[in-house]
Amino acid sequence: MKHEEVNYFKRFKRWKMIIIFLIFALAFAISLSVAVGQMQISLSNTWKIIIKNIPFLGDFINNGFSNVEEVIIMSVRLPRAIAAVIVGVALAVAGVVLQGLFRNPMADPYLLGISSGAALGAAVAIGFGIRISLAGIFDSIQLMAFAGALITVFAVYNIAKKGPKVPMLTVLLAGIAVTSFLSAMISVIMITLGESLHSLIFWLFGTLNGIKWSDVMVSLPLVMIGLFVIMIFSRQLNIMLLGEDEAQQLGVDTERLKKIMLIFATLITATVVSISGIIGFVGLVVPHITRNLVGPDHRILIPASALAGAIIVVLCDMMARIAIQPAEAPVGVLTAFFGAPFFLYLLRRKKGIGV
Amino acid sequence: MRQKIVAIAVILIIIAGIAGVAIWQLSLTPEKPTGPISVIDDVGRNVTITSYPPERIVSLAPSCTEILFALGLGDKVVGVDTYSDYPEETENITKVGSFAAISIEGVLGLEPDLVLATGGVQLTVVEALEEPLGEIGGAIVVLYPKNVTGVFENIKMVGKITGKIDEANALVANMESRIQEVIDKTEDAPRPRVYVEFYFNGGYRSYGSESMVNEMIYKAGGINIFAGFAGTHLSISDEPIFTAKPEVIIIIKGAMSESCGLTPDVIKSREGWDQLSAVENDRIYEIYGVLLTRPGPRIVDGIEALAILIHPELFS
Repeated sequence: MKHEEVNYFKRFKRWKMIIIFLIFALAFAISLSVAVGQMQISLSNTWKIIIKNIPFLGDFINNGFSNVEEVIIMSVRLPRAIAAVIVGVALAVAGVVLQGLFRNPMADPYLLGISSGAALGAAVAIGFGIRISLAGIFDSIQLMAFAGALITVFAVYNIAKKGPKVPMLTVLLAGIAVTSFLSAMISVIMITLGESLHSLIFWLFGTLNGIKWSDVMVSLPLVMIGLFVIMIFSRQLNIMLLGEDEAQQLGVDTERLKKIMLIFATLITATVVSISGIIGFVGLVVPHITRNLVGPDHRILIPASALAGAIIVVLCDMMARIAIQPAEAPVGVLTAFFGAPFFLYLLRRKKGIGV
Repeated sequence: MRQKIVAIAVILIIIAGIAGVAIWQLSLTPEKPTGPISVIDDVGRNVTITSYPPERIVSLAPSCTEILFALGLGDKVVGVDTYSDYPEETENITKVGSFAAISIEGVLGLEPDLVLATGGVQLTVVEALEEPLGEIGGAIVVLYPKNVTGVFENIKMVGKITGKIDEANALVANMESRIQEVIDKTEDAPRPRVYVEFYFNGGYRSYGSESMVNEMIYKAGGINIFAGFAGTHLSISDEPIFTAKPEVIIIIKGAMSESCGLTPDVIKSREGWDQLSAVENDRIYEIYGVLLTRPGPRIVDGIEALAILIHPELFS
């Protein structure tokens, strides 16, 4: 008993160190991302501008920078870096949850048709020029993508449902079938779209270009709520790793757990997909990286993945901005570009990847 | 004494003359509006240009760039998209990306008073730019014409917001008269059926009734075989082309046609196409796409070029 307690404290200490390290790494990534861009803004000016915009502290800063520099830092780069954090957190956490729930290393946040549902919503909005907005915050593409994602997952879930039970394998297969069906519908719209096709293609790759504070303000609370709920259930998710039957015997209400986890994983994924489009590979690869780093316990795996996902998306977005100047690369291209080879490396090294 | 009076009289007359000429000159120069100026752009946005007339302009589309240069504003253009390749001077202007992949901070860094953008693909960029741009005193105007008249209105709007009203009116009048000349020449001749293709890959891609190419073919004295098909861009198969029996086939030369290797020879070698009168009579032509697909001043060149291809007998 005593021995185990010592072990627990050791482990807890190690977790704390990992989290602190990741937080510092994320802070470094964000400040790097905000300081780097097409326009040359010195590091000292970057910090001056940020501090100046903090209430009270700002009074101590004397302007040594131009108005344009301030606008670029405060209205372009900073909201974008924060949006990258939100996107990274949501995709990585949703990936962890779905891989745990399905006990399948191939699972990613788009497994249940979120990507194709959101893409269809976006395609309909772009293709038919639907212009609606909710309180002027969400634009029509975002709103339709969000709705498309939620409706699709709801449909997949209910198709797979057999009485009170929802067999995970059926959910998986239903997700695949619905995804191909929706992809066919997207193709039909794309053929008739003509020139607005370009905007859909950009959207499908995923991009953070043009992110505004309003996007951050809408997505941040939704992702935080989702993350909070998922964290509460992280212990039960651990028990699910033993298998559904075992978990039930240990007193976990697996049907309820599955439902809650699917709802909140879907919520956070749909939220970020609606502001950034479909950014691939983060939700698939990041959980594997962090599992390598911290082990399979969801109580540490979830926060560590959230931070690692944020770091990776922030850095990929920074590269997307400067890679092919003067244009911008879609960030989804970069995450796949780095994510896929890394995934293959993990595969080779461990000769197989487990959950 | 008399000499003194004459001298004073001469001086007075000279002063009066100078004053008169000055007043006459002043009355001739039209009253130029000063200060902020507002317009409603092609997507219904109400835009106020605070720095009027704008001294630093960024263009995000080739058509916008061509309008600016045609109005003599070339020296005020400080940034263009990567596809802006006309006139030659654009080569040395800072590039800020293209389509939806415009670098927001690349544009902001140029500190423009005015940004011209196009609609559709670029609306996301417009939405992202308008707020930060406003914070540095700039404005963004969308030019997204649906037809030839829309291009005229665009040119006049750009003239209005840049203080080049006279130049814009003169340019539009010149374009109108050149188009009218083409119409006068081809009006009484029968209209050949024209098939336009800009890309193929599996199916063929052409233009429908809502496209500007459709209207330009009509103005040039022909008729688009898909004038009865709604939409701007169409994806079609052999059958509707065989049914429509085109007498003239026109290939839109550009990046799209080059990417799929679309040439007159390719069209001639297509199975069953040899029975089309356009192929039989060897009436397959190529035309520079930028003259037809860029809604700017050069659409007139496009219409004239089309007319010469469609009615070679009328233009010698």
